[in-house]
Amino acid sequence: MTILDLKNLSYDYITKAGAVHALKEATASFETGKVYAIVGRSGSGKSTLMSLMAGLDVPKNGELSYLETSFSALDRDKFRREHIGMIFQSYYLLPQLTALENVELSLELAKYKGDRRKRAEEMLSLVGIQKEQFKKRSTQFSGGEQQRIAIARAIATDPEIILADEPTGNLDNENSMNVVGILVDLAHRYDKCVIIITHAAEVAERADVILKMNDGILQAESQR
Amino acid sequence: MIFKFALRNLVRFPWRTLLYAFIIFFIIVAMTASFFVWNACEVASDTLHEDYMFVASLVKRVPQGVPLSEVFKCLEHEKVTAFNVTLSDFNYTEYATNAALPTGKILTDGMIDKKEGEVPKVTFQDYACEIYGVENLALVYPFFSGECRIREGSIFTRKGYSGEIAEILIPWYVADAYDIEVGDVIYRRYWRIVGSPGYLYMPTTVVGIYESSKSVSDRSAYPAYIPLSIAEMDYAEVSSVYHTTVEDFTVDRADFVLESRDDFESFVRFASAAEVDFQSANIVFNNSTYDVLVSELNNVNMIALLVLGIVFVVGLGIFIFFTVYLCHSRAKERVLLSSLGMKRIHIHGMIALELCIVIVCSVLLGLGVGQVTASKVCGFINDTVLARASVSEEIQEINSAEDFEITMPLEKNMKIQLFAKDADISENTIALHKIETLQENEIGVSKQRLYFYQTTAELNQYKYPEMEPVEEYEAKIKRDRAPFDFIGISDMSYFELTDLYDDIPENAICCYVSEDSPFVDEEIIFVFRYNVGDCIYNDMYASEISKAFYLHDISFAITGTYKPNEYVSGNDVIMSLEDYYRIFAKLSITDDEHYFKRIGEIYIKEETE
Repeated sequence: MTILDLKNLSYDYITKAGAVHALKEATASFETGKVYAIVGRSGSGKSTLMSLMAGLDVPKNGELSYLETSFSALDRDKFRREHIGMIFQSYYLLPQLTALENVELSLELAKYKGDRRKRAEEMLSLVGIQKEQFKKRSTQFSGGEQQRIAIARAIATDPEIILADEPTGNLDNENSMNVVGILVDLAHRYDKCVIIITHAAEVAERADVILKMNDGILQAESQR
Repeated sequence: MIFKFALRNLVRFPWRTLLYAFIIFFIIVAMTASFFVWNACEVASDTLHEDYMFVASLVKRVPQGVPLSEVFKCLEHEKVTAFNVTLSDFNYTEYATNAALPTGKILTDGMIDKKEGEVPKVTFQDYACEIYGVENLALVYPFFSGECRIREGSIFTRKGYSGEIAEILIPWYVADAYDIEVGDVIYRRYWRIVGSPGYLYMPTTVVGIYESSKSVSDRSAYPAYIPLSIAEMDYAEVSSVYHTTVEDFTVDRADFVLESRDDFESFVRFASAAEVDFQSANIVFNNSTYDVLVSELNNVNMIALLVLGIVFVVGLGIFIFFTVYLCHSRAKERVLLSSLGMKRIHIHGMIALELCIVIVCSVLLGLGVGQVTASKVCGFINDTVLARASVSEEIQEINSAEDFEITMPLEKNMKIQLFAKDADISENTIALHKIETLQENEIGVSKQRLYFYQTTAELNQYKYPEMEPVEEYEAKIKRDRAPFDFIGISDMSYFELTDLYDDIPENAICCYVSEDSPFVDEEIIFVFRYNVGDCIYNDMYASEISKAFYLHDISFAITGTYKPNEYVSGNDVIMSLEDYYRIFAKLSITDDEHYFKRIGEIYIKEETE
């Protein structure tokens, strides 16, 4: 099922050097149950594309739609709270909070109706964090563990789409594979649409669909 | 939710919170403290300027003091708000008790009621009091100083002063003795010297009765008063009254209270223009304390203002820098919260709320601590600067007028008019207060200025005026009344006075000793109250007038006066025993059987030994 649809997306921004065409006429469709890898060099427009897909930014041209509903008709903040889970290269865990509180934070913002604590614990357990570590400050975890906590936070609200921006960029190979494994598992077992932005070939290899970005152009699609 | 997140962030992130709070706290403390100090200095300066008494003092440069006329010259300065003069002791002694005294010639011996149609009853035993003619009762020293006050009735009316109505103000002891009330008509009795001897009876309305706040033994200091115009109409000789001028009085010091510090210079210019005699007076200011205090306050004020300005500018920069830095340092947090679906306005609100909480708490704490810190500095200012102002000698002196023995109220435009005795009176130059103790060959006597008045022969002539033409008689009187400079008689109070004899002049009083006195058969004086101090001597025996004698050839040297001590007052004089025995041995009660302890206190030797 196509959950996210991109049609002729373009995005420009202005720098001191002049106008930069970060995204040019990008068109793509994303379905649930699949892992998508968007690969490309640094500055090729990958993060811009992710920002647009998350509703953090608005394209200059083209259209984005979620389940055939245009983004322009959506409350994008609410859309992110309920349907998007984001994972970053630098984890973006709040250092002043414990692992458990970091996960609970997304539930609080999403006004999760169930037992937030229990849900957060489940999510942390799901990504392999030991229970006795739940109440440790996020800064006390290793990089791999922090990213797993970030994944737990991203999936806590049970979003259909998971956007991961270089999720393994700061991790060693073993941890990278563990994180990618979790993401793949989420797509295949929990029917999530996982979109990973990466320039790591070994990560891209685990994806079901690979999209290439080159100078703002979403060039080719290879399906495994 | 925003509040919850903000509080959680503040609590969970103490280093950031504390750092930001400390920065704001110290900025506010420094600003608050410097502001309060600056404000305290401003207030202190204003207070100092308002409370400080800027006093320009005219102080004497010569022992005689500063003539009162010089004081009046300075008094015209428009910035003088008050003044205070310290009369020289000498002046006080001479004039204060005799202020508003038009020679004291008017005498009532027996102030009596005279009912219509009755002949006035006159008895010499009913001694009443002297009457002084005054130009302005308010300027009579005892009233001026507050010693005397009106017990009943009032002071003279306008018509009384102008002479339209004969009014009199009588002392309490007369009123009590004769049961006189306000509104009663009493008769002043004058002895007519020129022309047919006899009495003049002048009806006078009692307008007031005054009393003294002092417990007095000598009531002669409290005469009855009539307006000068009445006295002049009643008794022509009063017209020859001698009014002293302001040149005759000197002050040790005159303090002029000015409005501000700036008036000092104009005061000096004014005094110079008014031709103040700087040979006899010098002008000093009490500005030194004020200047020092103002300078210190200005220094502290400047420092406080400088600190305030620097801290404000630097503090504002630091505050802005740290605020921007804090906001920037939380960019990732903002991205995360945004990615989690938190609205941007909520994110910014949360951060702003955090900053506001920190700022408010820091500012409140800083204000409190700043105020406490400032109070320490302000306390220093109060304890040192202002406290010094309050104890400055100049101010203390002016504020405690009661410390001066003789002072005048601090009032501007007060005209002082003083009258003295007849100009004929000459003054012996006596070194004042130079004698500490008596020498063996000295004795203290009361200082009384006596004048030889007339001989027995003249007295006889007076009784029988046809024996000599009036003109010659008056010429003789004038000649013989030259001051005799007769000092002393140790204790006049010991003698009893009588006006028993009708055939002696009205203005004279015979002194005698009572029959049980140990001085029976001693010489006695015959004192004239006609002119204060006038007297003649007679060889008197108890209750009897006998021969009179000249004292023209008697003279003696006055050594000086005592410095007041436990034995004598400043009015007492000292003289040699030789002179004393030569002149006063028989008059005084001080003899071989008695000894002198102090004036008015004579003791029999056997009793004390």
